[in-house]
Amino acid sequence: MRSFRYSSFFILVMVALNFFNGQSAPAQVKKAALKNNQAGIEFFENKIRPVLVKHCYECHSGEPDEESASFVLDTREGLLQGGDSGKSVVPGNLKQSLILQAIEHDPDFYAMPPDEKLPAHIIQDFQKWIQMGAPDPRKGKSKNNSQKKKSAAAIDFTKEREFWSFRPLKKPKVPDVKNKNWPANAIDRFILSKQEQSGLTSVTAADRLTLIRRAYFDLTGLPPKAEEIQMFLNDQSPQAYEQLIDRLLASPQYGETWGRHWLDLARYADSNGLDINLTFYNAWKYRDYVIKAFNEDKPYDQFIREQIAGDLLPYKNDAEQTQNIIATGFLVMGAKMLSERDKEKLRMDVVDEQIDVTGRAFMGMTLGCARCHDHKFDPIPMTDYYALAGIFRSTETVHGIRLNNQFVSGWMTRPLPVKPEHAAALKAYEAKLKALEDKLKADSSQIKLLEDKTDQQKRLKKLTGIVVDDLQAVKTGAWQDSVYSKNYLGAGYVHDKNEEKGEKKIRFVPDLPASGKYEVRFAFPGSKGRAKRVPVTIHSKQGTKTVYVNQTKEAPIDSLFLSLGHFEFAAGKVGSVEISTKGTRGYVVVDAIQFLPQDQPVEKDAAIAKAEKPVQATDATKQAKIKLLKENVKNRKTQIAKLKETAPPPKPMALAVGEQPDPADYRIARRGNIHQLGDKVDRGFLTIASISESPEVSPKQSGRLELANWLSRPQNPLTSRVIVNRVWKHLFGKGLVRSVDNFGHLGEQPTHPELLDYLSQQFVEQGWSIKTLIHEIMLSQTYRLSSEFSAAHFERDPGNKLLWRMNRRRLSAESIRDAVLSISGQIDLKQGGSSVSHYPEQAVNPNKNTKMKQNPSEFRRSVYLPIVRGSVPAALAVFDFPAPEMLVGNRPVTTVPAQALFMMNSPFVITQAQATAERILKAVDKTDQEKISQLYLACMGRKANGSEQAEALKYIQSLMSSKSKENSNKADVQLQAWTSYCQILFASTEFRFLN
Amino acid sequence: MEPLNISRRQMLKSSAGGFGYLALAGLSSEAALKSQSPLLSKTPHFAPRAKRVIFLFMHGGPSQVDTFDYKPRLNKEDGKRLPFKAAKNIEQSSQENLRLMKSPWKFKQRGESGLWISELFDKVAEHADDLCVINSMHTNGQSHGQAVMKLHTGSDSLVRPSVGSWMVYGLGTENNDLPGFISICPSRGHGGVRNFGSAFLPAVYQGTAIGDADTAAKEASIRFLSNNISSEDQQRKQLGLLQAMNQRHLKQVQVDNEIEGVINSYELAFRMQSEVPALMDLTSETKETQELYGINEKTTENFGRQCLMARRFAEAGVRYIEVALGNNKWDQHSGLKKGHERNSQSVDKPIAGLLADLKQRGLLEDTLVVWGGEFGRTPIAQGTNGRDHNPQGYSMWLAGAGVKRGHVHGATDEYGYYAARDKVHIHDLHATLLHLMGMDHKKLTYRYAGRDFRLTDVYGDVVHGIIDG
Repeated sequence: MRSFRYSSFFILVMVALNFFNGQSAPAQVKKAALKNNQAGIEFFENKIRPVLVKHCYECHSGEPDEESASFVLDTREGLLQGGDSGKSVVPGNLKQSLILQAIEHDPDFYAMPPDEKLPAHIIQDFQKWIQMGAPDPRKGKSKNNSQKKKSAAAIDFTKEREFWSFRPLKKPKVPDVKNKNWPANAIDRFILSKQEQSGLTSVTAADRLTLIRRAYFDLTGLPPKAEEIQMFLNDQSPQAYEQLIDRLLASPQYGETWGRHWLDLARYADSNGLDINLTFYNAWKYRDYVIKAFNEDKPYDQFIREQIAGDLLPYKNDAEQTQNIIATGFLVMGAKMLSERDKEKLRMDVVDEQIDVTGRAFMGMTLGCARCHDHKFDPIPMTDYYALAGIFRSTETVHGIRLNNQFVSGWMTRPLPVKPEHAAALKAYEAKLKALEDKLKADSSQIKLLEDKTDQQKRLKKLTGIVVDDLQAVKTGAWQDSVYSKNYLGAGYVHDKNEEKGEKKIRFVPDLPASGKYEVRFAFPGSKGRAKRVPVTIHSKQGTKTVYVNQTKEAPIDSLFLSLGHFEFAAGKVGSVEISTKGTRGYVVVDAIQFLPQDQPVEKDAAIAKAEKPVQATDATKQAKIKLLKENVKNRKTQIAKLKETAPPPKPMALAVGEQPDPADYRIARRGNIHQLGDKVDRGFLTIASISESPEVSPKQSGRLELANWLSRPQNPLTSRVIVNRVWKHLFGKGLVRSVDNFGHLGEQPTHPELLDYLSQQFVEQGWSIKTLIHEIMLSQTYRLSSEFSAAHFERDPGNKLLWRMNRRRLSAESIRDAVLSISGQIDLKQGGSSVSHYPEQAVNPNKNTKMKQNPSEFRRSVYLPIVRGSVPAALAVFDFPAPEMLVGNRPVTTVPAQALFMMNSPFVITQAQATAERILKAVDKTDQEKISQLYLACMGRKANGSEQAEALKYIQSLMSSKSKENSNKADVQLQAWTSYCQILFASTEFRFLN
Repeated sequence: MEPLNISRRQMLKSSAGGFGYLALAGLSSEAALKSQSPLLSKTPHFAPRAKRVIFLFMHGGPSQVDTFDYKPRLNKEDGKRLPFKAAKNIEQSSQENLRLMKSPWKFKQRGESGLWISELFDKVAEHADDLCVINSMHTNGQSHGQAVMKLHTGSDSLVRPSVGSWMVYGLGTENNDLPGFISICPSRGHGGVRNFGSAFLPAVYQGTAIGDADTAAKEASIRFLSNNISSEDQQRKQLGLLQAMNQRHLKQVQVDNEIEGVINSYELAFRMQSEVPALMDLTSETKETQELYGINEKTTENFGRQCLMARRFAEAGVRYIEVALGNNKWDQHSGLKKGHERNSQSVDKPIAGLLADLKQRGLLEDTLVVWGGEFGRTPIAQGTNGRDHNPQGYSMWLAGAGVKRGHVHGATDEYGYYAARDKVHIHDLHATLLHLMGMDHKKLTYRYAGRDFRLTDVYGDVVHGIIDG
């Protein structure tokens, strides 16, 4: 303390010196200052410099290093300047001197030196030194690192907008081509033009068998049935192919397949994942919304707006409002670290995830990079990131707690509109239920009380002196019974609900056995949030005295009592203690008053017996009462169960975001550390993609609505390019831009930039219709090429960038499974609905898991299987179904032995092979050769040739003869042999690949 | 960084002048597999000290002050108020209500090195002179999920590749017939599969689970490793026809890496079908060995089997093996005495057996054994007989390839609460593990979503103080 005064004086003097310019100051003061200065320098040389040299210089000296040490400590200038996080030393200011936070190893900041905390006395030296004004004689310039850094101002956005993806969209001219006969539409002319420039021609067109299999899988994710193939082969009309495409685009399976593509971007899942893997009971509504949007060909710009800000959009009716709210599930779907105890960190991690998926899904931009520093490769300054962060931080996503645990956060769900009758029925039901449950509760606690079961009861009984419990007190106003805090006596305590202050009173009147001196103790469960100054008035022989009691803390005696003092009382019901709520802020809690005689000991039991009179009853009547109450409890329980059986459907809820009550701009978090906030950033959007004036963010809203509009406007150079490229990718296996989620400098360049721009522009012009785009692409000759190999072409263009053939693709995980089910005839094409209603609250429990019951709809299409994070169905997981925590626009295609094992041994494949065998064996009118051919047609989309038939039958025969040694039942053996063969077909590469 | 292998496509590109695709197509499938397998054994950045890792994961967080971090002062001040400030976001009650709690177990100095180890690990203590105990570990995440994922993936809030996946990505495998990364009986919660997942790294690098924490080790198996429909001979025939059809398909399409990959994957899977069960069949071990691991005793049978399997996998060339005492078993918020005793009884002998067995086979020379939980436990009492999570200071130990023997690195404060001297963050441990395996944690990167990712993110320093020589 002394040193502080000393140094304050020193600073004052220095200020005075400066003020007078040193001239008119008395020589004495000047001398003193010099002396102090000398002492300060000495202190630095003895206590501070050696520590800096020993513990800090290794990293923080010489030239600052942007990545690991953004400032230096070897000059006074460097020390005062500081680095990315701010000033390391502010003379005289302990709070702002970040060096102290670092050496104190503040968990929200850096721990320096990292391997060992400095001893306490050294930290004290630093505090002292800073208070002294941080005297430091060292000279020398430090290279200012922050000036070198790229900042928003330093990015040349005009120049950056010359980059292909940031360039404004213009419709390019469709190129002229030499071969006028080949192109079917503009797409072909762009493709052909490039081929002609490089002297390459494409391979032949695919045959009709290949084409129909391709079209079916691409649009519906299912193989064509034999009769559908036949129908197409027989249809000689020139429109046959186009009609096929239109028919498939109109089938409900189209939305399931293309909706699933979108769900990969939305990291769709039916559970939270990560540590507290809670079931998302409502996520399926978002999944169904997406499928419906694709089936209805919802304009893509609208689709974007709904997912970002559906809750803020106008609507015409309940159905529309419902869809709009559900759509925002996109923002809630991320995996959240629900057990994060630093709730601000959790909130900003969720914001970060939302920024990341919004950036990549809609714009192919990796915005997450700008959380800690300006984007290293793309023109995204940190300010753009925090402009978006302000929007998402003003959006409510994390909400409430779960599992009854203050450390486990929950997420937003919102009620959906219901019909008035439904709402009324729900209201009536809830009221009835509440009434019953209240009665049940009251009876149960009465039983407990009578049976003296609780610890609190025991505690009450053990007390000496005269105790008046809150049950026996005289109450004025509405006091709420509670057992929430556990440190109470008897049946519970009461509180004033923090309402109607001054109107509530509670009065304790003891029946004292003798006159004399008593210590009066007040029992209450104190804790945070309770009233600070509760007036307690004691009426005794000495008169009236009011004591103010602080209830924000636990009471000092046994965590139960506070002594109010010693008072003289007359015998009998003369004195009293009264607690009022007047002038209090926070909850007033009252449990009991104890009177401890100071003169002579009072027989405990007698006193208690007297005090507890109202509760006490003779044993027989007590037993009778308990019996009656138990009867009541039983009846009520039956009534409640009955009521629940006839309950109206629950209020429908959706995974959805909301608006925070206090929308606001956010600040730059230095180096991404939310506990080190810098300058405020106006909410807004990406500068690079704002070619025309951006909409202003309303100060009264989060800004999501403006973001949604900004993202979906035709001028946004990224939005349409990104989605068109995604559609192309799903039809060709590779995008025109192969890095479908990255349109920045680290992504790949488009192989056909003009074609991409042409299609993007046209897409916007034609009302953002995905179906129209798909139709256009599928009608091109390019899409209809065969995938046949050509050595000459392969030599020149092994990656098929010029699209000289169709890429051969492996079927997706869903298609493999769905095709197997479709061929076996077991597939259940029911649409929509929840897949996880039978799951426990924690889809996966960290302590113990019982095996989940068989999914009641196990043969439904893959899109409807439960997607529990960390427990994705094996049939999907082995074939590269993406981790549902992550946005994946381009699923990897890997070949791992787990896939082979799945095909060879999984019960799924084996049972489906058997179902297929049973199915084919039923066709008794067909020869075995025809049966094989039929299987080929179902699996490979073509008939088996003679040698394939022979090979198959030879295998089946040989297996039958080997199996019949173990089993004499011929039908069994036959089925087993055909099953084995069907399994081969499912495992074959021809089945698993799409030409 | 792209995977270190040369893809077939790149080879075709680079060898255009010499021999073309036809020459390559003529290579045996085995050679073709080798030329394109991302699992091919790769050259590390520098000479490795260890070839493989066995990580003994103690899920739930064993208490440091009751096992490897002896704190006489804590025992003396049992029941006293805290002489230090409780960590932020940790304690549920206020500072004035917290009390120190001594260890119910006795500590002794062990071996020639004199390491202090409590009676909970009497058998492991017999190997004290082989242990390198780190008493100054610290990590992020006050909850299990965060800390478990931090330990396994380096991230406490995002889905990232696990340590084993990075290892296999960087080094490939030693045995092409086996997965490079195996996790024996992993927990399904607290991140579950993410703790042995490859996240954005290609799926070939993900860990293969053998059973899970809800399954007895005796029953544990790799999924779909066998079926009960076909005999081996019948399956060989089935595979014969399948592969003939696949080869015909390949011939017809002429060149296709993926189809070729599928064909190879069937061969590999078929070999795995016989090799893995043989490896997991512990009956081929001598009675002495089985007893060494405690397989003959009820309390130690389960973990003993896991440890013995781990040794067999290590011997067979699996790069990274995790053995878990799962389902949060070490999480004693109450009942510390009973719970920790039950756990130590089930793992102490098997771990000691593993160390002895590795040593006698010379495997400890190039195998690194790592022991620890996701965090430690407070020296403060929780309730009357429990301890809460302590991420700010705890113990782990290493043994074997490349690390000092009979050594203690770093220290917590006098009560075992905060790591105080020579602190080792979990990122530092990860950097060190990679270093021991011959990799520079700053150079082992993978590009995803516009960034070059590392196991250690932007953190981590190799802890040279624990490295031998």
